[in-house]
Amino acid sequence: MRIVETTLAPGALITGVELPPLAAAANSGYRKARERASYAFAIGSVAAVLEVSGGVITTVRLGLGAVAPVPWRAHHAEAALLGGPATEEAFAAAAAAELAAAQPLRDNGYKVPLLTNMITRVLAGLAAGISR
Amino acid sequence: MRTVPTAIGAPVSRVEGAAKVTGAARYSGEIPLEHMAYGWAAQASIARGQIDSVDAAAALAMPGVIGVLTFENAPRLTAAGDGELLVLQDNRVRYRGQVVALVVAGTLEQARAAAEALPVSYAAEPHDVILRADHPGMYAPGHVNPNYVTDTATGDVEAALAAASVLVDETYSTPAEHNNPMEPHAAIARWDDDSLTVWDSNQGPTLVQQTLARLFGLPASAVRVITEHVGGGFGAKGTARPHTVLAAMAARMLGRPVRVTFSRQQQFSLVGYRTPTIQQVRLGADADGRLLALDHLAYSQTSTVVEFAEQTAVISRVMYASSSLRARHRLVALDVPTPRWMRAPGEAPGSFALECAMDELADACGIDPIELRVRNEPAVEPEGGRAFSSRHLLDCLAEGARRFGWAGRDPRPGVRRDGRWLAGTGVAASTYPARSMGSTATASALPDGSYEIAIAAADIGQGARTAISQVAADELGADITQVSVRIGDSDYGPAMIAGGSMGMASWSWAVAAACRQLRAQLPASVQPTETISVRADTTPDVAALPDLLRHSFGAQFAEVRVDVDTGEIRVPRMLGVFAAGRILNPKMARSQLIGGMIMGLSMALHEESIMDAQFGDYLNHDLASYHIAAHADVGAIEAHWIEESDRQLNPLGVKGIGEIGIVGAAAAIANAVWHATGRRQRHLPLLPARILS
Repeated sequence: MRIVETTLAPGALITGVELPPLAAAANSGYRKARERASYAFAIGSVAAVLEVSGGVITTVRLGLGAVAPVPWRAHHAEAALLGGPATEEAFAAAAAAELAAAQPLRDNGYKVPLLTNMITRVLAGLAAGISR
Repeated sequence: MRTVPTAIGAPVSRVEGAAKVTGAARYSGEIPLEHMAYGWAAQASIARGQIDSVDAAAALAMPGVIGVLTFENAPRLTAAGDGELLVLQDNRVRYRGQVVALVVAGTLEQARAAAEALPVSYAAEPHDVILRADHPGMYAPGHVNPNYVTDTATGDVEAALAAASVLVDETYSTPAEHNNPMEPHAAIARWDDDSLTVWDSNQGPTLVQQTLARLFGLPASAVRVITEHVGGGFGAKGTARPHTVLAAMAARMLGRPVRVTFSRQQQFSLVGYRTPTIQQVRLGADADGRLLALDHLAYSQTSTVVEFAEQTAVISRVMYASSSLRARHRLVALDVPTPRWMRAPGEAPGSFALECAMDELADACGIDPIELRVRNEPAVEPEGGRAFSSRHLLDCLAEGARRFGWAGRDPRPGVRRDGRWLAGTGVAASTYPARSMGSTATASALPDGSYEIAIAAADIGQGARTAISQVAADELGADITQVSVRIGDSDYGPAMIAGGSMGMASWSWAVAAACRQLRAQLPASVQPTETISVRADTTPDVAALPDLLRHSFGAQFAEVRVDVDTGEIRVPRMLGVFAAGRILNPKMARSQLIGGMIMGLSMALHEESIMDAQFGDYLNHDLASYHIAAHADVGAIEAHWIEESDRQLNPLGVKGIGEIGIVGAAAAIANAVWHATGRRQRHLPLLPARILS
């Protein structure tokens, strides 16, 4: 996939961003990891929405930060989870599925286990009814 | 209320505190002078080679520019023992970021704009900027800082290692770190005929005065350096730096006062940093943990401009008794800026390796790390056999263990889990030399009954002005409010810098001597009718000190939590106990010790200047990417000290506390991380990437 940081034409200006409401976002979580406790860019971040009904994942949204030049929507992981069980094993497998195609460089290979752990933890927390 | 005669030991607040917080205190870059111009340094964009040409005319055509100093037109200087100060003397480029021109303009912004646009063409050569232990250029320097023998050995280390029941043989590394005082380097220079006055941010005006005099071929009496307030130095201002020389050169050429300040980014190449180190530590012990061999080999870097040899392994010459002991240093000159002193040079990186290795030995022997140190406590200097003037390491460890709650600690690593956190505790020992240097001080009794002290000390935030006031008040039998202290001016005569934990240990001696002599001269119960001044110089007294080993000691404790998902480390608790001679002011001593410990925390978790091999400069040269500990990183932190009376140091028994707080702090944290996770961390800083890998 080709990644571009912007498709804005020269002279164009973003005047607003509309986020449509998502009922499932009532159960959402966000977590970021940093190299110091404050005043640092994230080395990895996870934003997630999870809705579970009858033991089955009915809605899932997963976004990752600090892994690409743009915020990363984890479509592979979402597809792997939708309709399946909300278990820690399933979250870990989905994270692995998302990150299987990652192409880390020499100094950021740790982000693969970092994000795998964070995705799993955030989703497990949402499944257990806690935000983080 | 009279506080005599116990000003010493009282928690007196900073005497210039109100001036600082109200903005009334003027720092060196803030002195308003008529017709002042502003200089901005243009820096080399290659790491090695030569300057072919500098298009000064282009800069002179820009708004406000009144002068451009280059190697072609800058005043000639006389060598003064520091090649980094011979700015603009030739066309060689010896590291990226070196000053290649100074652009002077009517405003700072004009100077900066023209300096950054200045066309400079270079003939670049391949550069060599990465430290590695197997670098073919590694050599044994003639000595290591300040004047230690490079290699020492007692006993047969190899045979002892071969005979030992327990071995630790590991390599540790520490990265380049930059001092980053809050106040950047700043100087204003003004010439009046052949006399030079400089308002300069430094750690000791005497040394800067002497250096400028040599550089410009002047008698010292023709140079005055004023350093009233300093916003931190941490070693980066220990001796003269290029900004001061540039200001003086430009003021000379242009015939008007010139100010030169370095930006935060410029400080990463122009004022020094702590060398990266690679250290091999080999310990051999019997089954009871008694050392048979201690072998410490340290590699570090210097520049091609100045040979700066960090004394990384000298800590291993004083800490532990061992029947064989070897401490060696190797150095390589790279195309990099010159490393310099940074808080506890030598001991800070050296203690990380030694004190982590001792923790590994404790685990290998199945002995508590404090008990291991008890078993290896030397009666005299392990290497040379000199007596210690005082040594209370074990008292610090015992007191620290009591306060920290060390007793009953489960030594097993990786077994304490609290949610997603792994928890652990660690300990390390600390030491730093306690030296004094000769200084001069003047004490005066004024007809109004008040007293005045003048000494060329520097208050770099440690509270020198206040502590000197306390010393003088007690020595004069006066209330502290009757004593005014003037510092930070080379006109007050030679005095030691605020560096190497030698400031108060040197100044207090000179001030006490001057006050005692003044008191002896004063009429008994009558105020003098005119000012009576007495000047004392302690140089002969210092030279007459017996040959003892004088050190502070301490114990550092840390509690850490490590996030199992992210490798993020939190340090909820640090506790240090120090035996550092007589504490003159507990309020400021605590502040300084805690400051050192926080800098050690920062060293453990965050600080790393990353050398860009391709371009040859420190990549993260700003405070957004060069991390120092933020408030949120610092948990509960305590500094304590034990009462220590050591009369073999100086009259007041002062050891100096500028450095001891940082020494061992990073090792205590790394040892606690091992205790939490079960994995040794031998390379600083302890970033999540390292914990997770």
